[in-house]
Amino acid sequence: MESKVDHANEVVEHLASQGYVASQDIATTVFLGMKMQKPILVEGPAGVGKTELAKALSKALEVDLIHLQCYEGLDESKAIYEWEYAKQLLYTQMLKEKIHELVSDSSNLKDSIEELSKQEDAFFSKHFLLPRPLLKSITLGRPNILLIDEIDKSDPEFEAYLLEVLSSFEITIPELGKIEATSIPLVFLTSNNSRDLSDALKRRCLHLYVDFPSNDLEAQIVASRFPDLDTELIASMVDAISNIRTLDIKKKPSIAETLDWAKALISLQIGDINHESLTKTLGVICKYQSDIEQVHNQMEEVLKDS
Amino acid sequence: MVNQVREFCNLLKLRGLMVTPNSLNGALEALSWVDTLDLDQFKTALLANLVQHPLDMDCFEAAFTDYFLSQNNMQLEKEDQFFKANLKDFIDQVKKSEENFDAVIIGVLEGKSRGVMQLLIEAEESFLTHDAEDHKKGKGGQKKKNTFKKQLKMMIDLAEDFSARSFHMPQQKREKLAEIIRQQLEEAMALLDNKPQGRDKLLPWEKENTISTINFAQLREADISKVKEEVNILARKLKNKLAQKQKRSAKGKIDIKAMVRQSAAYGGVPFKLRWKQHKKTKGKIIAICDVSSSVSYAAQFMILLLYLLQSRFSKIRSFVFIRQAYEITSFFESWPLEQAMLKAIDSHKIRMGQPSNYGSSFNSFLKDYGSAVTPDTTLIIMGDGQNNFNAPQIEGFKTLSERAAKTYWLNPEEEKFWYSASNVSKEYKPFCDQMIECATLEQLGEFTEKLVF
Repeated sequence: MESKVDHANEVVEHLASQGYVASQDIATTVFLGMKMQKPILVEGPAGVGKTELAKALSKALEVDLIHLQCYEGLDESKAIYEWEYAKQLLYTQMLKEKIHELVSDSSNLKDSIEELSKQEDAFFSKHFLLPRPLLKSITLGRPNILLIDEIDKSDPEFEAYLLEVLSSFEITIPELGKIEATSIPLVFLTSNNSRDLSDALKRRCLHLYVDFPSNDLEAQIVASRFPDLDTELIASMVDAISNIRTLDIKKKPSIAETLDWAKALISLQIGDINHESLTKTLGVICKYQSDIEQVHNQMEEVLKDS
Repeated sequence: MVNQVREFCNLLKLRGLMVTPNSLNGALEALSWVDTLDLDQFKTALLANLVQHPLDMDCFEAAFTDYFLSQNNMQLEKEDQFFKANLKDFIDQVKKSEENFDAVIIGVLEGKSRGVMQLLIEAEESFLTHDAEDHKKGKGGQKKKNTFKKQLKMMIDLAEDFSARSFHMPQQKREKLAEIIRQQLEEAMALLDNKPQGRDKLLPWEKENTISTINFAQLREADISKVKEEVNILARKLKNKLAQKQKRSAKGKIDIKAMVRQSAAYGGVPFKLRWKQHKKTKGKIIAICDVSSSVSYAAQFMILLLYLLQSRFSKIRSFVFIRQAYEITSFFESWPLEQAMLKAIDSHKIRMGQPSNYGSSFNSFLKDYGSAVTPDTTLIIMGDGQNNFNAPQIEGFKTLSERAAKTYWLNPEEEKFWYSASNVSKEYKPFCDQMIECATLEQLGEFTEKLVF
């Protein structure tokens, strides 16, 4: 991607302009991804801002964001390209007479087929090609960000399709040949580690592990999203969340939950984190009943810094 | 810079990380884009290219600190000239010592730990090669390492003597001097003891001690979380394998309804064939586990693995027993592993530490939950068969196994012990479709794979 950024610190500023508070390692890796034209594999727990990173960057750089959501069973027809059968059929129907004219001079079936096969290219041309996100991204003709979200949810075979795109930014379509990128996108792949990705894919990427943020960074994130929220309240919230993360619970709250909690506190006009307010809003932070019970039972521990 | 990065990559490889030449080139290219004087940027540029799995991050961090940062050097920077002069005195004394200390060791005192690192890399590399000549050198390298360790220990003693005798320094400074020298030397010692720490890279002779092959009965408290992580990875791998298999064998019967519906888009021409999806789930699983101390861990991991694969089965019900069977399904559905077990034990007031009685347990299961065993049920028993000289009461178990589609018994005890006097495995074996030795995660994985496919 043609980059408007010349220094890692500029990435921090760009992201900050969209309310995304990035740590130095996030900014440096994104900067390297732009300069080295390598995809960035972003791993980390759910809700720490992996997808948001790509979204915020696309807004900040004012480039298109092409989003490919992965799922089990995703194949090349949904991710790369597909022939528009219906359109081809429609054209065949519309051009029936023309086809008749073409084969009218042929004396037998064999000659007719040969005559028709000379016209095959017309039906397997870019005109009937339906580009899906990967093809769309490399043929867009202008800088863009390609977000391949939750790559770990796709089947291992799908990774093989990706290898060609990610290493040389070209796609081979048997009927048309090789299609090269007109602009190289900045690619983000996100993963929650629900399965191991292949070494071949990992080797082609820069790695960025986004973990739960430090208390300071998390406080900055909350403050940037909710500038009117009292700083002391933010500090208490962040301390409590960080203490909850130390408990052995099924789903640890991530930044997304902290932000939801902040929203809930504002809506309920709660200005203080205590036993009562935490109990009232625990459903926003914990996603399992067993986790809620556990936090409830260890309230003293959770609120020790608040 | 290139040499340093290459040397650092060698250190990572020694510690078990997979660093390919491509990654090294990537790291070097990345360094050309960042401000190498900015520590964060420098580290991130290396990290982004050289680490391929989050579990290897700790190993990278440790190697980075060992190689590029020396806490002691930073500590030394803070000290005054008087302090540094005293350290220099000590170094001079060591140089003159009859012990003939190696220059690399003296370098450690001067804050040059890279010498040890280089020595270590050379020694390990030659030690790992198969070439006879190199191997000989390798042994020499190992010997050299041992001599170094001996010298380091001697030097720690010398440093303590020196600081104790440096009366011209205030006591606080003397203690500080001894502490810094000790730290530096101990750090070098730790480097010499360095072992591969990466996830996958274990040397062949260390493989027997991996989490997957260690006997459940020998697991230490600290290993439990690692085993849980491995169980998760195992479940993921099995799910992937299953998904691939289902995809490959997706062509079952043609789905006429779906095909006709889809052909409407193409003017009634059936352009694409549609196939009926294979039924994904197998039957019901009932796991009955002995939770007396000897088998407890094995049982917990098996239940955890079954629940991670629960989408593969139509229903999983889990039971535990010592002298009587209790259902614990609801606990495992809503609590993490250890807590589920604790809550189940607490709720049913199961008295841990009692000797197990298989006969009475199977009979109580038959009486209370027997109707749960149906012809589509796979019955899995996890137990070592140590019946503590109680009567096996075969009939109850026989009835259960006849009702179930399949009965598997996973036995964490070695097969040769199944036939001892106090063990009733041999009595139950004829009524099982299979009795399998299952004392390690690897064996558990093999069995589960057979079960889900």
